[in-house]
Amino acid sequence: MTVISSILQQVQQHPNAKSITLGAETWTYAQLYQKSMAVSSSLQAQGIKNTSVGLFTDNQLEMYAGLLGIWLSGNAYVPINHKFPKERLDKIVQERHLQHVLCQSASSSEVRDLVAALQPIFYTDEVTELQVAEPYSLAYTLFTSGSTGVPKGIPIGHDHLLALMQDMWERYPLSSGNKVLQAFELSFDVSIACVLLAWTQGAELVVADLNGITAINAFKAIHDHQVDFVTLPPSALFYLRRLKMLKMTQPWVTKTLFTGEALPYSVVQEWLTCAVNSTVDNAYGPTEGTVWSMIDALDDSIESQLMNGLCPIGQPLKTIDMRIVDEKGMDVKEGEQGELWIGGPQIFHGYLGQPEKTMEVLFQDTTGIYWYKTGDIVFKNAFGKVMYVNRKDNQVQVNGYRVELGEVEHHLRQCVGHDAGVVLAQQENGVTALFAFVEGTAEEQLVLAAMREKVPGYMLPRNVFSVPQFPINTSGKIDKQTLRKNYLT
Amino acid sequence: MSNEELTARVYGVFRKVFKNEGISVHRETTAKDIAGWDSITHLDIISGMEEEFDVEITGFEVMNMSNVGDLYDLLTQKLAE
Repeated sequence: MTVISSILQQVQQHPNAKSITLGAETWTYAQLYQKSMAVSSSLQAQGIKNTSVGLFTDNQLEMYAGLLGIWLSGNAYVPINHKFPKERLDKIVQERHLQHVLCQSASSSEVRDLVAALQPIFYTDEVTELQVAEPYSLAYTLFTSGSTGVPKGIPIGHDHLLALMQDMWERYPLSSGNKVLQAFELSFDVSIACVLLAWTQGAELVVADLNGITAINAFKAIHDHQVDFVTLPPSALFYLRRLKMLKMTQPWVTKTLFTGEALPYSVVQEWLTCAVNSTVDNAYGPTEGTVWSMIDALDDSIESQLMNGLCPIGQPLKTIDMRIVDEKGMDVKEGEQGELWIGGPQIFHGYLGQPEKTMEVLFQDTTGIYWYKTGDIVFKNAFGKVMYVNRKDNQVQVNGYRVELGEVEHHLRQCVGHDAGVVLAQQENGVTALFAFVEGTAEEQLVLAAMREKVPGYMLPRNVFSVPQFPINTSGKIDKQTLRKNYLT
Repeated sequence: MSNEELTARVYGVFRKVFKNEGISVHRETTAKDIAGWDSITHLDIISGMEEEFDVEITGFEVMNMSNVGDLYDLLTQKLAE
């Protein structure tokens, strides 16, 4: 059994049920199957098998058929996000040794500009191959920020996805009457969880426009299509509040899953004034553990569980084992802080082409179970729920995306041509933004223009400050606290 | 306010938000056309317009904008009210 066979079962059982909606356009499960089989036919006809295929992410309905079609042809997808700079996409192509990219013919010039090395395969309606290929073990590879400047490829297999869905099906049983919001870029793994929650259970996937302010587009999709299962990053509330959207109630929302960032309880309270009939869960997980590893269903005791106003990340999924350990890798005492390690069939098996980085964070125990050292410092509270405290390294979340500040600093230093560059993250009204500091004089516009060529928008600093001389602390290091105090407060 | 002045001030906000004096913006421009135009910069554009023209723009109005021309028309309408 795979998630593919679950989707095909839904196609058989509910061919006329709605599978996906974007704006005014809707496809049934039968149409989704037809479109996906056309993609599968194209790939099979060209002998593309057991490999990774680029999927150009223009967020059209065809792209979702492309995702399924790539799986049906016995291949895995790699999102080619057109919002990413060419240089980053080049690295993704090289790291994954991609040769083909699936795209619309109308996008061919953009695709050629962005990923010239890839041979485009265009969507077609023609189904020439009626057989579904044996699934490839790999489902997708996503790339996340790497501190050395090279994105880290995280390959996730169908067995990982199936393990995730074993928990999801039990926790969130849905059917053809349900509508599931999808408001995440395909390069962010929450997107595939939304897709699978809907398609493996016969529900309708309602896709939000991802241009402009995503939170506003998501709200529009929820409202226009009366979506009941909603997944959002907590920072979405900042946009909805700022633009006075929360006055319009969304009574059809019955489940809200906040994910991608730490969840302040104030966000939950505010959201519930709008989604008046919703229960709320807080979902946590690194991409290495296949989307989500811990979930907390917020209950009546939530207010006595908050730490610094933040909600717990809860308890492990049924297919996740968990340890909280000290610096020596020994389990801490109940209630003490330590690093969260997660293990089990959802854990990835290593970064693409980066064995040293893999060895730092991944190991197999004596029973063969893979364990991932998350780098997140947590503790278990009196209710037996895990509370997130902070990171043990320089990683931050920006709009749900994981960003290694070291990677942004690497590119900043390259752009200014010397080593004296620092990047700090700062929260403003619940939204995390990055700020760059350069010793000496730097022309902000030129630095930002150069960085746009290297990093995606979410990694771009909001400001570049020229600092005559960096303050130094007693350890002889750049005094980031003073920089923060002098420039960001 | 003349159309020319409105246009110049709208484009001035874009230049400021994107920190790019040479940015090219026209009525048909959408978020897809400018690198780095994401949720936060979109909100910066809205906030910049509110400040520049002393108007209030709601999320419901943002929902219905599909390009810079729609923003331009909304501002024209608000300034005429």
